[in-house]
This record gives sequence, structure tokens and C-alpha cells, in this order.
Amino acid sequence: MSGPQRLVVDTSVATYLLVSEPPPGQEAKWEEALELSLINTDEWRLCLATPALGEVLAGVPKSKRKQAAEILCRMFEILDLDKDAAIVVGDIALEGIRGRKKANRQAVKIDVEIIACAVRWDAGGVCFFDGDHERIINRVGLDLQAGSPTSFTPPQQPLFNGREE
Amino acid sequence: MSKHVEVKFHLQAEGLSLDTFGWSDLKEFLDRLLPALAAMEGGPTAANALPVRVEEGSAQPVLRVPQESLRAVYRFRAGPNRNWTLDQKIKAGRVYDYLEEKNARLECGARVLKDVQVPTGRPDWQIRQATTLTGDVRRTGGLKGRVEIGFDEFGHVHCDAGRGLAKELGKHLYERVAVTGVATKDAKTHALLTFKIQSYELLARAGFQAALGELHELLGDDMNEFDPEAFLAEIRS
Repeated sequence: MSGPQRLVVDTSVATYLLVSEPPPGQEAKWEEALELSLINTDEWRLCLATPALGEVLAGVPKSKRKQAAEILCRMFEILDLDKDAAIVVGDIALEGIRGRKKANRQAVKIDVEIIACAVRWDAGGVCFFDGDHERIINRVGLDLQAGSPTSFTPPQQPLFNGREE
Repeated sequence: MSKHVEVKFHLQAEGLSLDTFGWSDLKEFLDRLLPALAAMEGGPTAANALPVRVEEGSAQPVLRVPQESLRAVYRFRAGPNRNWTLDQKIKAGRVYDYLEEKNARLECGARVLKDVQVPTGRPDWQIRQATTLTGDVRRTGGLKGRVEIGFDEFGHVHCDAGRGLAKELGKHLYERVAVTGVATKDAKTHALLTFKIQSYELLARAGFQAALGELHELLGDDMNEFDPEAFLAEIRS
């Protein structure tokens, strides 16, 4: 596919976009999540898989959920968990939950669905804060770039080169 | 001070009488009639066409207009011809639409009432205007360099862009753009018929930031106590 590649944003990152002020003790993650707006749009197109969209919207008050969904759909391309994505879920689900404690399996299932959407829609990367995605991607051997938002944003240009003019 | 004359507008339709012609009906009729009259050269305007009364006989609103504007009323009554401007056709078209919607006839005159001529088989007037529209690039290509854009306001339209611009826009497939060019719209429905793209601006990045601002504005104080880490732990436990 020519043009920008799809970058699938996980719930762990997108949830921080709901708050306009940094939550106490989570300033670094909040700032990093907001760096999504700095992503080079010639290189990456921001996407949200439907399972992640559902999770993010669970954090929004019910009265504003519909409007919030419309805004999120403008910020991200929404990737459906459709039949083809379900086949990918079937391919990777067991690998994803293998070796995980029973209590963590539900969370991993959602991660598997998000990664399945990424594979089904030919995404180039998955962006997250927790390590589950990377573990699944490595274990299944998927060709997806994985990391936190800063690993997809262009490196900061230094304002000074260390010398004063 | 100029002389004034009374002009009667005799509306005739089944079931229409003074008992059924209420204030809102009168307003709707005059809101369409007065711009049409004012559009005629020397025609009476909303400021100098004074409502006097509504007479019996179906419904006959009577307006007092300056005598020198009577010729314009008669030109309106005679119906469109090749000398009418586009603006006159569009504004008179709204009166014709009203009459067609109500299945009504309209006569008018100062002394002798004559039918207002409603042209049959009216062509759809088109409006051409330079404008900027936003939407998503859906498809580009072809010999003539056409670009299909899903406009926010008008839906999907195949636009003329020329090969150079089409090639450029092809690099931004499925992205949001603001395109500037010349639009042709249906004067009656305001549907976008054609669009010739002259330039474009990529909106993706500005769109994300603007939408993020909109999201924060929407949620506002509701999220003051929101703890993303605790929420994630809860939803995924």
C-alpha cells in the first residue's frame, strides 16, 4: 500500500486523550499520549480498533458518549473487528493467552482483538503503554512495529546546538 | 412624496379561505413574494410594500406599494423571459415552488387582476461560486484527472482536478482535505452538481488537534476526577 501506514492506537494510550489536564502521578504518560498529534501524517495514519473504541467510550459519561464517539471517529480511522479480523483472532488467540494467569486472560483477549484488527487492516504498527501487545506480536511473529507513542513520533529537533550565538 | 397604489394578490386553492389562511400562511407567502418583487428592477421592497389587509375570496393579501414600482409587479406577473437575471429567476422560483406545493393559482393587479404566469417545465437554475469545501479523498485517476471526494456537506462528488492535481491528491487517499475551487450547485436543492478543484490543503494534523480540543471541551469538568490507570485496571480486570 502506498501512502501512510496505519498505526493502531491501544486503549492504554487513547484513554489519556479523554483528559485535558495531566492526571496526578501520570503526567509522563499523558504528555506522551498527546504526542500522537505530532505524528508524521505522511508516514502514519492513526487508527483505533473497534474493541479499543468501545473501551475508551466506557470511560466517557453516558450522556456524552455519542458525541465523543463522533469526535473520536474524526481523530482516528476506525478499524472494524469483522469476519476477516475474527479469523486472525482465531489464529493468534491461543498463543496470546498461553502461559497467562486466568485473571489476566480477559485483558489479553482484548489485546488480541486489537492486534487482529491491525493485521486484518494491514497496519504497520501498534502503539501502546503496556507490554502485552509486544509480547503477543513477538510470540506470534507478526511484522508489526510496536512501541509507545514516542517511538512513532519524529525525534525532537534541538532548539540550540549547545553553543550560544 | 411618491403616490402609492394598492395591489391585490389573489391566492386561489381548494379549501383556502380567510378562515384557513392564518398569520403563518400570510407570513410564508409574503416571505417568498416580497423578495421576488424586490428582485425586479424598481420593484417594491419589504420596507415600502405595506400590508394593508387580507380580503375575502379565497385569500387576497393587499399591499400598498409606490406607484413607480407597479411596472416591476407587472413584469413579475408576466413571468420570466430572457431578460430576467439569474437572481430574479431564483427568487421568483420560490414563489412558483410555493404555488406548486399548495396547488394554488395567483392573480395580481392594481385594478384588473391577471394570472401570475408560472412557467412550466422550469429548468433547474444553477449557481456557480468559488468556495472551499472539506472532505475525504476517496479515489483519483482516469484520463481526465478526476478526484472523488466524500464532502462533509454534500456527500460523494466526482470533481475535476486535472492530472497534476489528481496525482498530488492521490498521495493523500483517505485523508481529510480542504479543496478550493468552483462549485456548481442546484439553486433549488443546493445539491453540489460539479466541483472544479483549483488547490487543496491537507487537514489531517490540524484535524486531529482540533478534534482533540473539541473532545476536551465536550467532556470538560466531567473528567476532572478521571484516573486513566485505575480505569484501565478496572475495565481489563
